[in-house]
Amino acid sequence: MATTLDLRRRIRSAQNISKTTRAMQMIAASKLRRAQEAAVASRPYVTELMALSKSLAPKDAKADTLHPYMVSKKATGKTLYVFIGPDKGLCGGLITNLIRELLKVRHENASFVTVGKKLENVGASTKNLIASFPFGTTLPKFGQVLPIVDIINEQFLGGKVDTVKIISTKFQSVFSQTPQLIDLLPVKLETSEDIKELDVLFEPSKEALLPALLKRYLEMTVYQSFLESYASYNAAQMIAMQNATNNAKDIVNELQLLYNKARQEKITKEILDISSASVALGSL
Amino acid sequence: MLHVQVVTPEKTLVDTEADEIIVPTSTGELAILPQHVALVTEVAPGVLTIKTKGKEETMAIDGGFVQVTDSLVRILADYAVTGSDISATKAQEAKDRAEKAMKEKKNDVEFAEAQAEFRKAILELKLAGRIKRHN
Repeated sequence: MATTLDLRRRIRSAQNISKTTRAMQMIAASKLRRAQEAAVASRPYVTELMALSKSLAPKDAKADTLHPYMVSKKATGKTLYVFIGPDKGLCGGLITNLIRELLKVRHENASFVTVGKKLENVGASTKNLIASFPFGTTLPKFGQVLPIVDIINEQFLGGKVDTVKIISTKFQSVFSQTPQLIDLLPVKLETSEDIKELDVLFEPSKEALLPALLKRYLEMTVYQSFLESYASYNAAQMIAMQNATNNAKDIVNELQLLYNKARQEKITKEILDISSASVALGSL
Repeated sequence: MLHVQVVTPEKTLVDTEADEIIVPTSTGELAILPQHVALVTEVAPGVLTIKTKGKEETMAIDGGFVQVTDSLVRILADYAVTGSDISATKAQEAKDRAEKAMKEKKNDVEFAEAQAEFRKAILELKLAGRIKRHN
């Protein structure tokens, strides 16, 4: 049986934990609002950009007329994975789910670029980690994307890898974030039936437009993954901290009950002592 | 009537019907009227004008792409801001700040960021000037 002092101490520490988690929940909630707006607002841009890039691709696809981004070389059989996750934990199953995706990948044919401290360690254990970037704790800036795109270019255009894929978290709703795999490079061409055959005028020319368009598409897709990951992280943390706060409060309630019982017991014992003493004295 | 959409990474800025659209492109200003031929071209930094029933709406736009199909004009802009959101003083301040940041450039990334800010500020100033003249 724990003493009342012990119980009081435990109640206090549980209360402190609930205060901390509550504060974290509030912070995540306020960050989430901005993150969610940013992630959802840029989605149409990326979709339209992708549709435009695909419609620009030449129909009579011969390898030498295509932009390098659109050619799948199948030379090395290797894939570059860009893993995007948060720097910090305390966000429920989000990171575990991401790591599970990472472990599914066959390591001998893969190299990795990780974003976020949590994934860095896992990436390092595969021995094929090319680069590791911090994710940051504020809304991702577009500038963060550029060095990653540089590495992707170096690896892909340099012929070190055949394909580039992104694994990040898709923000579906506040309650649901799922890992998603995006095929980044080579840009897949849609089959000709999907695209309406139109007489489209290109100004100045198709060849001049495509590189700029594809570069933009690449950068924006990576950036979009950043935004979605950031929104997902804050949503997951908000929910996790909400649960933690509730659990801490449950513990406080349980301990309070135990404490009350222990206190009552102590009082009863004391009264018993006094009364039995007085009875003993009286009988003398 | 034309349907016009201006989409930026931050948000879908415009999604309305219009009579005429004037887009700055890399080969000069381009006026798009209904029944325009299908076209894809690059947008140059400049002022975009959307005319609807005699009313004119202007916005500063910083690079991107424009796609014209049947009756839809879709402008994918890197950055865009509507005329009503611009205040000339704010734009001037932003320009000064960006200029200062470029002078104290620390590394390439920061310099590029400052340069982008600078370009945006100049664009906004240009648009603010045009609106002033108009009134």
